[in-house]
Amino acid sequence: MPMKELIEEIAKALVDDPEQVTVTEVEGEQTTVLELRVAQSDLGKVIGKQGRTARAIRTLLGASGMKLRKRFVLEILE
Amino acid sequence: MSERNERLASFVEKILGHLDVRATMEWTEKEGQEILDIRGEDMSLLLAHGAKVLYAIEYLANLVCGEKQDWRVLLDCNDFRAMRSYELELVAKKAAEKVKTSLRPFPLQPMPPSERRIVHMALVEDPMVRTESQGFGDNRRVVIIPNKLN
Repeated sequence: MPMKELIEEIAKALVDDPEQVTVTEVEGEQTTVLELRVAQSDLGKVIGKQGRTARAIRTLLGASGMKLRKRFVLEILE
Repeated sequence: MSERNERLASFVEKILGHLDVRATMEWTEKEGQEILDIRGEDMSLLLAHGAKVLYAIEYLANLVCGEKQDWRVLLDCNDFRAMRSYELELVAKKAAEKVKTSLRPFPLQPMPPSERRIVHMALVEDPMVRTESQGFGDNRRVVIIPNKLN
């Protein structure tokens, strides 16, 4: 799935420990939840100051969701 | 072409690929600022809602590739910057006129730093008003304030 790869791509570029980046996709009827897991020490990197980085990633998800007529939700987990 | 610029362009290219946006990219420079210019037929995905997707990609790309704070690349798309700049100057001047008659501060819409700068610059030579940025994060906005009359 392209959205999973998009999140992986961005997350791996942001963190210090790219090997610990995993994204799992939980597909629902209308909403797909993307669960992003990174090393605990990298959490701040994918969230950003005041959540700015997470928000930027969600903006991209929202835009492609509009195109695909789907909703994507990003969850960041330890 | 520096190695960092190449990395940044390839990151942007990958993101655009994932978003299924077909575009070409070219480096330009304006007043010492490096600009990665994205061009294509249908750029509505990038430019909708005040180009929030373009700004999001710009932020992420600089975060991923800019180890140093003093190095930032602007993204442009189908002359968006020039059109937005023209538009913002009009908005700024019109709002300033309003402030001069009402003598009350007038807050503009929240804007990213590059856009706020255009508003500040547009009114810097107007002795009747001054401008100030207020608020935090995505809610930071320019407020146009009447100068006290002597």
